[in-house]
Amino acid sequence: MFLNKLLSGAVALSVAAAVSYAAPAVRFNVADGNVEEAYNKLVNEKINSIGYVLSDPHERINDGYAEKYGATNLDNLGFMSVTNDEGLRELLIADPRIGGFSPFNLHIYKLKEENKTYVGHIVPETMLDIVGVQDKKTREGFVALFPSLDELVQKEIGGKVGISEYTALPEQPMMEFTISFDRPEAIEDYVDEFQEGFEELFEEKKYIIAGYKNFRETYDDLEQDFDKYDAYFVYSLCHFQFSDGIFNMNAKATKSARPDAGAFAPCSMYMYIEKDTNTMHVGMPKLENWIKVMNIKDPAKVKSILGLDKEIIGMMKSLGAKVK
Amino acid sequence: MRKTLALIAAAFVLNFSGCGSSSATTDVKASELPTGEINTYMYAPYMDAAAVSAKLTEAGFEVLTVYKLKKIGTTVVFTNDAMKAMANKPGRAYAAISRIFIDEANQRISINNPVYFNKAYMQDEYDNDLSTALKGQLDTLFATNAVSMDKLDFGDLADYHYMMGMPYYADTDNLAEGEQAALVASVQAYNDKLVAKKKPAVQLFKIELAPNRVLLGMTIGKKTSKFPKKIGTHNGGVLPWLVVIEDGKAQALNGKFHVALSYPLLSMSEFMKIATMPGAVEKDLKKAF
Repeated sequence: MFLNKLLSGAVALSVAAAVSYAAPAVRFNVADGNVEEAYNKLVNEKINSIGYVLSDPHERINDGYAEKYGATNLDNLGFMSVTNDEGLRELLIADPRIGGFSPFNLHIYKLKEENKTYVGHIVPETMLDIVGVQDKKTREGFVALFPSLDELVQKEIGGKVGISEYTALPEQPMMEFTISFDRPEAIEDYVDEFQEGFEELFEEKKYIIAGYKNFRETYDDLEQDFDKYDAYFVYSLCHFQFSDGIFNMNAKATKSARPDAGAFAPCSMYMYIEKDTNTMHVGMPKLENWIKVMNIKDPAKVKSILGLDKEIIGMMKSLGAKVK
Repeated sequence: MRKTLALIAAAFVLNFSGCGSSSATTDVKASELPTGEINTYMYAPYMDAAAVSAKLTEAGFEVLTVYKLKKIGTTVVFTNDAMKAMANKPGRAYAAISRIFIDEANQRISINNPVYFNKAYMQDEYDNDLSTALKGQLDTLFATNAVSMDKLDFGDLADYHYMMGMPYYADTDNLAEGEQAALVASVQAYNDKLVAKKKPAVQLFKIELAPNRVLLGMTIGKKTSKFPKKIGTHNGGVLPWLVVIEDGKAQALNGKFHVALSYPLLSMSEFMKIATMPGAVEKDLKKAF
């Protein structure tokens, strides 16, 4: 499934639609056997030693698929949202769009039919291309957060490294919005009210708020400067039925499942308000990136993915968001 | 699906299989363990937190905190010497307290059933005499008149977990390790720092069961603590959270376990609505160490 090929950093500097040649997509360590135990130790304990933090663990999603939809072809599917908090601070200040992959999933999956486990993540250059970060220093800073993680995964999980490729991103890889508001005396009042409405709407439409990372609070706790923003938080969004249709071979499925695309899940939607302003900026990588980066061809899956993009944009508009 | 939506039994009579009324409980011997389903909560006519606290105090209980959550309700957490002695065993400190939830929305009070929670927390060291007597005392004190639809089989309580892959009682969140006194002091110092900044206290109560075993009642973050609004405020007594510092380890019940035990009728769809809660609780609690 994966090409054992690392491409040069220069290739990845090409942005979005301009990319017309192979670029690295997702890096997986492919280990023999079931390495669930080693993976759990990695994400729950060892990852802290290199500055990464696990924020919202969702282990063994496959059990949920089996329970809710009656069948699964997976022995394991886990979404583990991780960030390198201290390493990200300056980068988020430099370009808040990095929140589109902060946190990101250190993904695990294992098929029942195969005695191998896959552990990995989207290649950082691809994350940057999708969110649109072009500044060289910011890109280098973000990419530099990954070698220690990859080394740790190699040490704890082992196996051969495979990196898949893609040829082009969507024309518009991001959905981006602005929301203007009357600024109250305490900005938390607006944020609380917006979050309640946002969560209520998404839950009503059967989305799962799978994660929530409040960077402003994180850096306040660490007593580190993050004063550029009055608020900066990231929601991790998931739609269980949708995800079952992409990642899992349930009882009704006739086409191959794509658990590898779980590297994109859950979707990180960032929201920030710059200091003393009355506009909230919102952004999320479109799910359409899954089609392009993971080379998804099954028409049913393609339709489902594009449908979700459309629905999310519509929901954000209903909350008063204007498309950028 | 194995789970069904939560419904509250306002009209249920008090007696239920294996755990009799207050008049019968004092006759139950330790060997005569309950059988069948045990209701999670007993309900009693509404009274405010002050009245609940006064009744508990008059009956010899120690009220540890009265914890009010906006738009959810108020929880009175209490203990007594017998409960503390029972829970003063390795890995059992969570059983040292019990809770009464003042349910404004349903105009009633909801009392944690000691038989249910003690079996879950004490596991094979469950004290049936104490638990049934305590239940009887609370039934009488508050004139309970109904029980919750929330219930589990007594035989399943010690091994309870929501579903395959979900945590059991022993799968606690590990918050910190270190010297026992330093861990206890760390929480106090964090609490004092917040209070000095005019922020709400995080440590609501502290029970030293033994020099090596301390039970803390702690708040969680403002956003995190709203989760009962998504799954039903009727069991809002699930907060505050408990932290045990024992033999140099600070631990808390895993969020998935604690909520599943407190909301045994929770459907998977409802559980998904609070997907961020378990991680957020752990993160919030770790801030104190």
